[in-house]
Amino acid sequence: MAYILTASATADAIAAAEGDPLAEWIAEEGLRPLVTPVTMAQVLHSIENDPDLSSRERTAYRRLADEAMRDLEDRKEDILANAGFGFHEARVLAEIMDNAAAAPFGEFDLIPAAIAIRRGHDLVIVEHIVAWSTFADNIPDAIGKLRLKVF
Amino acid sequence: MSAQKPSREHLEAMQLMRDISQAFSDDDAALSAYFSSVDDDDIIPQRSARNDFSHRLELARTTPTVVTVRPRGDNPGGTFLIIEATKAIQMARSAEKEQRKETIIDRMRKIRAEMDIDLPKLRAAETQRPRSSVPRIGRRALAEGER
Repeated sequence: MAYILTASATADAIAAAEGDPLAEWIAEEGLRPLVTPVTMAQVLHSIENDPDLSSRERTAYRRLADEAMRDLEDRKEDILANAGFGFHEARVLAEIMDNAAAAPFGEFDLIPAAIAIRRGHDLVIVEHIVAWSTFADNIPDAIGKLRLKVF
Repeated sequence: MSAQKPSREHLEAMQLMRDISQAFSDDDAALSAYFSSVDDDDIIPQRSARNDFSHRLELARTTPTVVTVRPRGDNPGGTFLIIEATKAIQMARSAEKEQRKETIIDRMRKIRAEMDIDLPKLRAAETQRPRSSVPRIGRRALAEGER
């Protein structure tokens, strides 16, 4: 079974805080989660633009994200694995976009969601849990099933 | 087979099986045992595999059948395995497990230890960002004067 991260889940994995349930789970299970490039773009954007981060915190996050990016960019994929978004996933994405129009979660997170549906991965969620569950329940069987791993 | 002097291909195949068994010995005892169970009679040339195929498939449940092919003309030869497909899945998972000795969490915590800083959670969806959009297609776009 493979797990694919949403942007906020990726941010939590990068922060790797002691006692954080997502971080502890990945460490204990020895997982190498999947992440898709657009998700990394969201995380990098948030690091640069989150108004609540102090400059010291921003610098720390940059350093952590940089390590994760290097692992992916160099195709080492020791700690994260690249989840490809291809044309089959594009079909799924086209089908689920409208269902999520009013949802509070980020639109870009629909990309890992589409990959999860198409490939049978679990999408890892750390926020907007009710909205995600409703969204997943409303996906018609003909498109596929979205399984969520919730923290 | 065992009465004859074993061919070079045969000996190489035997060594390959030992290597595979060894490779799994730390991480998956069952897989290691599966490959170490190969003996001389399980290593057969292509011709025997063809004549005895259904029997060989049955045997492959418990022991891999190793088919050796001699180089001939354009065919470079080689050593091939008949194993149950579920064994291939196990092998892939076991290999994956080995890769995951260090997780992202371990790696990040090492870096954090050098920095010694508490970090607030970052919530990607809530950060201000440019909206993504879908293209407008057809009459509506033209009516609004968009190209």
